[in-house]
Amino acid sequence: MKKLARILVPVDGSDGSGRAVALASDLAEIVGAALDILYVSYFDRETDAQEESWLPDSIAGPVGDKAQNILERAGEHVSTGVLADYHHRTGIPADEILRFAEENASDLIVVGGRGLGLMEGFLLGSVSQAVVERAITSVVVAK
Amino acid sequence: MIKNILVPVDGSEGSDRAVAEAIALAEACEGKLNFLYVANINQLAINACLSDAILEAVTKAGNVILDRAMEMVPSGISKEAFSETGSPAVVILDFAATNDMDLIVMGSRGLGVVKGVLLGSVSQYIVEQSKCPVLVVK
Repeated sequence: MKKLARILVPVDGSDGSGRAVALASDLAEIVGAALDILYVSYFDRETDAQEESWLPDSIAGPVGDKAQNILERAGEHVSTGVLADYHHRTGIPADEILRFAEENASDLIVVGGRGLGLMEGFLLGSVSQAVVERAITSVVVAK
Repeated sequence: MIKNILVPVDGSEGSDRAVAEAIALAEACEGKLNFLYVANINQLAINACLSDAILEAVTKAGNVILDRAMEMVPSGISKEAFSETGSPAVVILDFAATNDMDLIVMGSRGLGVVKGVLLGSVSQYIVEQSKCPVLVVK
């Protein structure tokens, strides 16, 4: 196995992604890797062609604050002593995650399984599912 | 922390890569490797009456695969081999829950000596149903 240097953790603010960050942080500590924590939003004002958006502001508005928020919360799960960089991108989450992994030569991706609920365990979540299937690197599904 | 690592093996290339990655992890976190081979007896029973000869052949095939995994592990890392029969995905999840595994390491798809023992569908089922984290090795 080649040495793990960079571990990518996509986050979306859910409990599952919190657990993914915690697990990735443990792994990073064990193998001496650094974390890339990535939040992908579908929309940003920049992605809208119209000046007067027909989309409500909650969707098309600047997602900077929300991204900041989600990344900060993810950061709370990172142990002190583990290096972590924070990234925000706009696009289709699974596509952006995989593109990021390739561009940044991620050695491992850690994703969250779906959180609690009636269907617990039945659905992995479509983004995690796509990452597990399409990633060229190994993927850990946190629980 | 990761102390108990479960590595289901089926002799496929994918499962070899999973073994290699699990060894590296176990070394880093001083965990124990638990190799599990599941003979898909239910499937075999449909194909043939379970004669002793068939059972023996299946057991032998499993032991060869387990021995090979065990031999890959450098000394100093604790390891144990287990052999079970049944439906692989169900047995693997049962084993993980009963024996308090912290992580399951498995290949993304395999096609072993006993065909169909660790297909992509097994990995898929385990990734979805497992209570502990799953590392899918590419």
